[in-house]
Amino acid sequence: MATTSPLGIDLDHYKWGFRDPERYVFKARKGLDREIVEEISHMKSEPDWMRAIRLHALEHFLKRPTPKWGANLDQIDFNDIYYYLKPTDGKGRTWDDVPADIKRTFDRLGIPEAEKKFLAGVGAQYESESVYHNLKEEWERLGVIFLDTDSALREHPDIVREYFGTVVPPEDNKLAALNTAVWSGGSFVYVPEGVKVDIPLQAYFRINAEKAGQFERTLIICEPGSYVHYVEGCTAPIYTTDSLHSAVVEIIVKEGARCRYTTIQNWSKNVYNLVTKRAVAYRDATMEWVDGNLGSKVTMKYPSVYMVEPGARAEILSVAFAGAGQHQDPGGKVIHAAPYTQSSVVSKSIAKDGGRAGYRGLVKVYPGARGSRCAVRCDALILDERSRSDTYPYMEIDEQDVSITHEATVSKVSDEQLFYLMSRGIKEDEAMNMIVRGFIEPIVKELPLEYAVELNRLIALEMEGSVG
Amino acid sequence: MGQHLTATAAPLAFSRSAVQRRSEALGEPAWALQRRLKAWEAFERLPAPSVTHPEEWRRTDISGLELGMLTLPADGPVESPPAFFGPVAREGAERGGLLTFLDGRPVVDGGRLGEEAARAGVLFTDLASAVRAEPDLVRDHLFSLAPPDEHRFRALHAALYSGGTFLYVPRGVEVALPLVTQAWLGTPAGAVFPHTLVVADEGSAVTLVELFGSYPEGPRALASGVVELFLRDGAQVRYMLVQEWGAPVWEVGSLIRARLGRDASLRSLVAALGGGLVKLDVESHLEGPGASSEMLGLYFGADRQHIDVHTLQEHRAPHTTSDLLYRGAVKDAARSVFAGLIRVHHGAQKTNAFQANRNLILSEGARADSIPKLEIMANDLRCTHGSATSRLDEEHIFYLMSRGLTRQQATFMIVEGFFADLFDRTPIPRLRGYLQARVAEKMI
Amino acid sequence: MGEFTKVATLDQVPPGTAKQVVVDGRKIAIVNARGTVYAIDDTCTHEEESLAEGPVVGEIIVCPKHGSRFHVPTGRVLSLPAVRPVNTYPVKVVGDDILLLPEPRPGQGMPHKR
Repeated sequence: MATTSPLGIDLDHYKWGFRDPERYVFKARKGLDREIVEEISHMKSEPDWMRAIRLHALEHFLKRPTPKWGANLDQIDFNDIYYYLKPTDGKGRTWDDVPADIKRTFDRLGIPEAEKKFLAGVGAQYESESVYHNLKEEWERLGVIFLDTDSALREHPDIVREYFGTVVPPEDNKLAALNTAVWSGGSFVYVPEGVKVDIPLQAYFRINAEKAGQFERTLIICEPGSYVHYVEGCTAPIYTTDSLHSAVVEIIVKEGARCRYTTIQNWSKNVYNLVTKRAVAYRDATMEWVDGNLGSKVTMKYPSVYMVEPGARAEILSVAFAGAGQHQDPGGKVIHAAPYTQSSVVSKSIAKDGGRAGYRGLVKVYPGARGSRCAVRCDALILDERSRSDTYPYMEIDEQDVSITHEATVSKVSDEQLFYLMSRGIKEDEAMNMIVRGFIEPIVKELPLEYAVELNRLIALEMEGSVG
Repeated sequence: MGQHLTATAAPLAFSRSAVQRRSEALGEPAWALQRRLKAWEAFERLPAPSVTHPEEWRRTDISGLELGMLTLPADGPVESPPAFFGPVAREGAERGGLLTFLDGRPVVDGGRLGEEAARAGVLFTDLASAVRAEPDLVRDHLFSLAPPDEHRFRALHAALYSGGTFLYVPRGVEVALPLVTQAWLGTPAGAVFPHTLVVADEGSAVTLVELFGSYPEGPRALASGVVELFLRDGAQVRYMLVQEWGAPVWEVGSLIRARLGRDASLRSLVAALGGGLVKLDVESHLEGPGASSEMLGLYFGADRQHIDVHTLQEHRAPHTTSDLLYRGAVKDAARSVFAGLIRVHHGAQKTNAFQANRNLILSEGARADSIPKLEIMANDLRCTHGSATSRLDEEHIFYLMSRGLTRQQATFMIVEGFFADLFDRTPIPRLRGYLQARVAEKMI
Repeated sequence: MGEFTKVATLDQVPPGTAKQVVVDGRKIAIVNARGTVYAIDDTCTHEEESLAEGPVVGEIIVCPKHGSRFHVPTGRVLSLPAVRPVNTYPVKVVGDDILLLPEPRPGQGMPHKR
C-alpha cells in the first residue's frame, strides 16, 4: 500500500474531497481553496501523489503568514487571482488592449510581428521555428529531455517524482507553498551523464501550448559530467494582466556537472515577481546563475547554490534596474556546506526616477567547510536623488579556515566621467548611457549574444530622458 | 513561549514599588518619578524580544535570562576603596576628573573634577545628583534620544536606571584632559542600569572615558545601560567605552546613541571584551550639515562568549561624514555578530559614509556573523562598505616561528597586528596600553 | 561509556508520532515509524527547530519550519534546505519501555544519493 508520497505526505489524508472527479466541468474562478487545487490536479489528470503534494502545500500556504521583510507585499490579494485557466480559455484580449508603451518597446527592440502578439498574450500561439525541431531531434538522440513540466509529469513520472520538491520543499516559504499548490507549466530538463548540450536551451523555443505561466515549476537535473545552459525569459517585455508571478526552480547538479541558468526578467510593471530559485551542487560541480531584472513592480528573488560536497562551485551574477514605481530586491545565497567550495557573487544595481534597487544576500559557511572561499562584490548606481539603493548582505561564518570578503559601493555617475565623454563630443544622454552600459558590462558579457544586444537596447530605452 | 521573560507577573526584584522606592531613595523630583512609572508601564506592556522577533534579536538568544533570579542593589552613596581598574583610573596627569560607581551607587570621594574645568562651568557628576541640582538641563535631555518604549529592556532601564555619568560642557569650553568614569558591579546576581548623559554645548570640546567591570565568577548578573551623547553645533567629543564584565554578566539591550549638530565631530571607540552575552547598539545620528562621526569598535570573544553589536550611521543632513571600523576576534566556542547599517536619507547629498568590518576566527568552533547593510536614498555621495572574515594565516605563523618565536608568541603578534590600527587610533596612550594588555590576556 | 537508559514508554510515542527527550543535555527525538522506534537528533541541521514537532509519515520526519526531510532509520537528509544528515542513536524496546544509548552515530546520505 503506497500511502506515502516521496515527500512524506500522507495520501490517505488527501483523498478527493469535493466531488466525483469524473463528472466534473471546470469553470475558471478567482480565489484559492481546496476545490480549486483539486480541480487543477484533475484537469491535468495527475497521479495521486502529486495531488497530495498540492493539497499539503495549500494547507501550508494558508497557515503561513506573508513575509514582512523585503518588499511590501500587503497589496497582494491572494483571493483576487485566477489560479488556473485552461489553455483554451481565450482571454478575449486583443492587440488593441495592449498598452501603447509596451507596443512601442516591441518596435524599438525590433521584435517580429508574430512574436509580439505572442508576448503580449494575444492571438494564437507563437509558431515554433523549424530550427527548434532540428535541435529537438538532436537533443533526443543524446537522451536529453526538454519538456514543459506538465508533459514531463505525464511522460516521465518516475523522474519527476524522485526529484520534485527535494530542493525546494512545499514548506520552504509561503510563496513556494503557493507555487507547489497551483503550479502549471515551467520547464523540465534532464541531461544524461557525460552529455554536454552546446546550444542553450531556451524556454522561449519551448513555449508551445501553455502561455507564459504565472506559477511555473522548473526542474533541471544534470547527471554527472554533463553540461547545460538554460535560458529563461526574454528581454522583450512580457505583457500580462496577472498581478502575481510566483515560480519555483529546482536544479540538481551532480558530480563534475555544470549548469548555467540565465534569466532576463522583463515583466510588465504591474507584476509582483516572487520567485524561489535554488540549486544543489555535488562534488566538483558548478552552478551559475545569471540573473537580470528589469521589469515588474516588485521582484524578490535570491537564486541560491548549496555546495554540499568538496570542490563544488557557485557563481551568481545579478543585474537590477529599477525605474519609477519599481522595487527590485534581488540577490543570492551561497551555502558552503563542504570543504574546498568556492563561490563568487557580483551584483550591479541601478535606480532611477524614484525606483528602488539593491542586493540582499546570504553567505553561510558550515562548520567543517574548511578551505572555502567566497567573494561578494556589490555596486550600485543611483541616478537621481529620488531613487534608493539597499544592500543587505548576511554572512554567517562557522568555520575558521575560510576566506570571505564582501565589498560594496554606492555612487553616482561622476561629473568627471561625464565631462570627459562630453569633451569628446558625446552628447550628455549618450554619455550617461555609455557609463551605465560600462557599469553592467561585466554581466552583459556573460549573456548569449542576442540577449546582450537586446539588453543594451533595453537599458538605452529605460535611460531615455534621464538627463535634464 | 519562555516562562521567564514573557511572564506577565513582574519578578520580585522588579516591581512598581521598587521603582518608587528607587526614585525616593535618590531624592528625585516628581517629574523624574512620573517618567520612571511611565517607563515601568511600557515594560509591563512590551513583549520580550526573542530569536523569532524582532529581526535585530534573531541572532542572540536571551531566553536563559531569568529576571526573577536577579537582585536590585540598594541606592545612595557608598564608601568603598575605588581603583578597580588599576592604572587607567589611577590619579595622574592624564586625567581631568574621575567618577566611581559601585553597583550604580556613587562612591564617596571616588574622584572629582579638576578645578580649572569646574571654574569654566563644566558639570561632571553622577546622574542622580544632576537630576536634583540641574533639573532643567537634565529634564530636557534625559531619554529624549533613547525613548523608553523602543523595546522592553529600554523600558526596564528607564524605570530603574541608577548611577552613571552626567557631563555638561558649556559653550566654547574645551576640557583639555580626559574625564574618566569607572563602574563596578559587585553584588552577586545584581542588575545595574547605568545611564550616561553628555551635553556638549556649541563649540565645546571634551573627552570622556568610561570603564565597566564586575566580579569574575558567580551567579548570572544583568547590565543594561544607555549612553546619550548630545553634540551641539561645532562640538567635538571623544567618547571611549571599555567593557570588561566578568563572565556572569549578561549585557542586554544596551545603547550608545549620539546626535550631532552642524559641524559637530564625534570620535568614538567601543571595546567589548567581557560579558557572557552582550547585545549592544551603537548609533550616530548626523543631523546637522558638516557633522562627522568616527566609530571604532573592538570585540574579542573567548570561551562561550556571545557578542552581538548592531551599529547605525544615520545621515539626515548634507555634507556629513561617517567612518566606521569594527574589528573582532573569536576563539574557543565564542560567537560574534556584527550588523551595521548606513542609512542616507533623502536630501543628505555630498555624504561620505564608510563601513568596514573585519573578523578573525581563531579556533575551530568559533563563529562570526557579519551583516553590513546599506540603505541609500540620495545619489550624490560616496558610500562603501566591506567585510572580511579570515583565519590565522598559517604561513605567516610559520614565518614568525622560523624567526625564533614560539607558536603562541607568533599568534599573539598576528592578533595584535590585526587590532593595530584600532590601537593606533586610541587617543590616550595609557588606555592604548591597557587595551593591548587586555587583548593579550584573552589570547592565553 | 554510556548505557541504555529509559527515556520514554511506548504509549507516550504512538506510531506516526515523535517526542523530544533530553539525555545528557542532548535533545533527541524518539520517533515511532509504523511501529518501529528510532532515535535521531531532535534539532534540524538547517536552523534551530525541534523535529519532534513535525509530522512523521512512514519513515520520514518533516521539519515544521522549512520542510527539510529526514529518513528516520538512517538520518539521511531527503530534501533541502537542510544539507547535513542527523545523528541516529541505538534504541531498544523492553516491555513498554523505550531505552536509548546516548552515543550518536553519524547519519548517512544526501538528498539525491544514498
